[in-house]
Amino acid sequence: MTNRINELREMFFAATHKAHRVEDSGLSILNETTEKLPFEIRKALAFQKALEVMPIFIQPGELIVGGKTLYRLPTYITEQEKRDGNPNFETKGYSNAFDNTYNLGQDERGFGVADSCIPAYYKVIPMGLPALKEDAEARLKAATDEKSKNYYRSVILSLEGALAFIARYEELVRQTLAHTEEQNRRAELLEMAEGLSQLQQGAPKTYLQATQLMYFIQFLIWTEGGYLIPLGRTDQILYPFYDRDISAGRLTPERALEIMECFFIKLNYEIDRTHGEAGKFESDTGQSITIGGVTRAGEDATNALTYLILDAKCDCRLTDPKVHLRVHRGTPEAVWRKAAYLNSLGMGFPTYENDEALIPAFMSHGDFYTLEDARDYAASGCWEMIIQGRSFNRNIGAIDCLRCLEWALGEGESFLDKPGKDAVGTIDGHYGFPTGKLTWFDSYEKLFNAFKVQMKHCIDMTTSYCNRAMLSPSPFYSAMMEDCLEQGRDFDGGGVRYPETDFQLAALANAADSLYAIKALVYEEKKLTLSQFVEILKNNWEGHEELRQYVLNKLPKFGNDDDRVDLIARDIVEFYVREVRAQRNSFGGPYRARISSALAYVTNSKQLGASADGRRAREFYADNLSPQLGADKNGPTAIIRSCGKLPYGECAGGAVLDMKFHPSALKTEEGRAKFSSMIKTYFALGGLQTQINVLDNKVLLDAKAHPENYRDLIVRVWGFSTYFVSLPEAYQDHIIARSTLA
Amino acid sequence: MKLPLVFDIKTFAVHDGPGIRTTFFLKGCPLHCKWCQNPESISPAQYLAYNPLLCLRCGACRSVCSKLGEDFMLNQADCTLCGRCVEVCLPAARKFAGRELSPEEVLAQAISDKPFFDSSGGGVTFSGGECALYPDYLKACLSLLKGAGIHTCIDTCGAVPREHFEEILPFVDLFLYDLKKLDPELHREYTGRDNQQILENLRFLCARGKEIIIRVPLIPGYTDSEEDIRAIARFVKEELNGAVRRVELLPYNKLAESKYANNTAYRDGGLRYPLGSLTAQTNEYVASLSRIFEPYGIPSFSEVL
Repeated sequence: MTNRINELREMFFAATHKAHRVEDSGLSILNETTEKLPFEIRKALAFQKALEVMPIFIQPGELIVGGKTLYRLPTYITEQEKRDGNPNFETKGYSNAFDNTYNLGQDERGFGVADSCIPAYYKVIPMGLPALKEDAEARLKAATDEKSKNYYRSVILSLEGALAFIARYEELVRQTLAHTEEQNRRAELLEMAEGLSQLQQGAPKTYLQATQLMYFIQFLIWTEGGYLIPLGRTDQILYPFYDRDISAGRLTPERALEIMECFFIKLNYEIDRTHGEAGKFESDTGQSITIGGVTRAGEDATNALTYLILDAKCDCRLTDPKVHLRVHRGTPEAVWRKAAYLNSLGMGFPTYENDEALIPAFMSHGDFYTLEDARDYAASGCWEMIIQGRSFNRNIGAIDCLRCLEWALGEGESFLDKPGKDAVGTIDGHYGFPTGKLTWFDSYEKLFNAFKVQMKHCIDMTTSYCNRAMLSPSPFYSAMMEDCLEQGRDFDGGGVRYPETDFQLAALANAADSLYAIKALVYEEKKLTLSQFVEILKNNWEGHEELRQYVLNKLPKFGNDDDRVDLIARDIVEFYVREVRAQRNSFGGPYRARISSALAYVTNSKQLGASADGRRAREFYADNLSPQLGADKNGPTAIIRSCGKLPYGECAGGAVLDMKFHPSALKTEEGRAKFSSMIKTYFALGGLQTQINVLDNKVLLDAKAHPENYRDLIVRVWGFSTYFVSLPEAYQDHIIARSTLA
Repeated sequence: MKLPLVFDIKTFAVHDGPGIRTTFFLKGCPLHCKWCQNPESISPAQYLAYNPLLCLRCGACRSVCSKLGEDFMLNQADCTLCGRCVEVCLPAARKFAGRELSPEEVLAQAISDKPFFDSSGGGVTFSGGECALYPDYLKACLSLLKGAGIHTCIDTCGAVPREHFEEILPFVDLFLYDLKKLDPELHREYTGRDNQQILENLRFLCARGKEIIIRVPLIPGYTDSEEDIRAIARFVKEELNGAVRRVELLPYNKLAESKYANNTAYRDGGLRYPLGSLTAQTNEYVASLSRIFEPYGIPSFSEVL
């Protein structure tokens, strides 16, 4: 790490960039004339106005400049629109009952704001913003319908705003240059100023300019209002610029690394502000970059930047960007080695994705994706796999298996909390479907059917909400996508090629364990009746500790390569995948099945009563594909074999296995080779993805007690890496418990 | 064939030979090293284990065994190993230290982990205790494993009759061979036996062209002086002709200390750690020991370097 990077990193921790932030400019673009303009035009005007006044700054040593500093667009939504709100009021935001969310951000009407889509950086960076604007202008001339015309107008206004903003930065850099004496810095500032000038004239000509443009677009999307903004296949996107500069002798690999690190540090400036107000977690920014894998033609895509990005992550030791490494049979061993070394540093980078399983999973959606596009997949916010530039991905919440089982055991009623008087989406005052009395379930199959009905009910309810959700346009963001300009439509108009919506599946292990416990105790051993068992659960095992211990310790659990439970998990997944994929979203696109819990293992589990797997009421359940905490007694190879039985083939959205290792296992090159082999084996068994924590629980315990000594201790939580000391206690404890078992 | 007791099976074992391995630990050892890392493995006999951290104090065990006191422990002489207390213990705080595992069961476990072996160049390791105490059993297991195309590895202290090795020789791909100390008298003092048989067996295996990794436990003040290591380097060079894959230095691990006097249900059972608290070597010191092998042309390795 160079001195410059070290100093920029210190500045980041000192949070000097926060001094420039303004919450609200207090401005409005509304007047009698503008009030009558179409919504998207007003939004573009507000964006333009914001960029006129948003504070700009440059810090000592920076090679990449910029940063979001204004946190509200000037007023552009009319009072009337706010009063009207969202006509589908029940689709507004978050419904606890079914754990539905429709994108994190909302405008002031309660309309969802697009996020989680990967900009088509591969297209817009080589093209440059002026050419993009010209393209929009030409299309405006040719357009015939008013809707398209307004869209193009909104895009042109937004791009004009962006270009003017870059001009402001050029001016600032030139002013700084005028006051700088040091010759090296002067040369840098001059190069930066000329780069900023070039970005206003045309396409970036150098690697530095291309990287600078990528950062501008990234934080301008945030300024417009997006939340989780991924970056796509960065090694592929920037490589042509790198290669040209290196060949021309303008750039050294060392300088290229330094520029990448400057860019990476910049990406961290927003980690405290990117999530919606509710459920705020530091670094949940969705800034994933994806490297490696195969090209659109199917060849190995590894290039010099694949390695350089891994090096930059080793150096910077900051949470952003998150790194996803795509692997396939042709991935060079040197990439595996460098990646394993990065893993050994303990930050949870990289996450691994298996091309040989994921590309076929995309292709399982009939003719929806082309093969070339499927090969161009990359990570969205956490580990959702989508097509860069071409997917409009919406995340909806998890189908919570344990909740479905609870409803099946409670005639549609939850064990704990009852819906309030004003609750929406209830049936006779319950969220669940009335699947019948316990006495009716005289066989395990009947109970399992009731459980399936509850799952179907959740899927239907969530789908119906999501398909009626209202969306807000994002002129600047949508212009960065592959197809919106061509289509003349923003996100809300269906301008993106692949509008896909992803379900998640949470508490899979617990549901399989619970169903097996019921099957064994009630239907096979006949130790007690189903009604008795449910009474015990409703009373949170009180007075039945012996039975709970029996269930915990004597019955098989998912994650031990035991078919008795693993095949129940497989049945659940099979049903879920089939039902999810039978749905269509409002754009006619598919619903895709993912197996992942996101944060539900902490948030949802608090609303759930005791479960038949021995879990007490409101305790955590298992995250993602993991076995329940402490239930895996046969080591990591057995976990992998259990997971290998699940039908991943049609889970294009992904399925995440969390793996935990003690740092000693990755200390030597030999140890790291074994670690890589572990991942290769899982992928050979069909696994899609895995995220890694390499942690020593002694360090975590010390960090909890003395946070001041661990400001840069980074851990991987449900789907991203964040600072351990910034986590709420419940999450800290969960990570500590997990690492103890590593 | 009488089956020995297996006291642990470790999957994803990464310190017991090449690649990802599944290691079977057999109970019983001819040596009694003062620093033993697996004290529960020294005796070949079964015993009753008890983990108070898992215990719920529910008293189920006491209701089936009158010998158990309020501490849920008993005197070793009173325990008939009937297993009733194990059966009723729900949280599995009480269990037998070892269990019998037939060669077929060993093979089944290994086969399920074979994909991991194949991707990493791994396989199965037998360790202990001293697995070479049971040549018939080992031969049965190893021949099944070789039949299934699985790489095999024996982790041994070498203190067994040569015939034991002759028996299993064709089925072993790699020996992890412990060399603790070359001075025979100190070897006796530290481990209960001198090292004559150990060195002879090592020469024998080398002469037979077997693949060997020498492993040296570095016990502070006992086996980790520069002279100790130089003596081993000389021995490997001069008496074995340097014909080993490498020498591995195993830095001291404090974890062993905590294993003592734990994990037993017997008030009068469990061993006391005889060495007191030792301080692990620094990485720098291990590196300096590792360099001793350089002039001898012998490859050396340590996890911490």
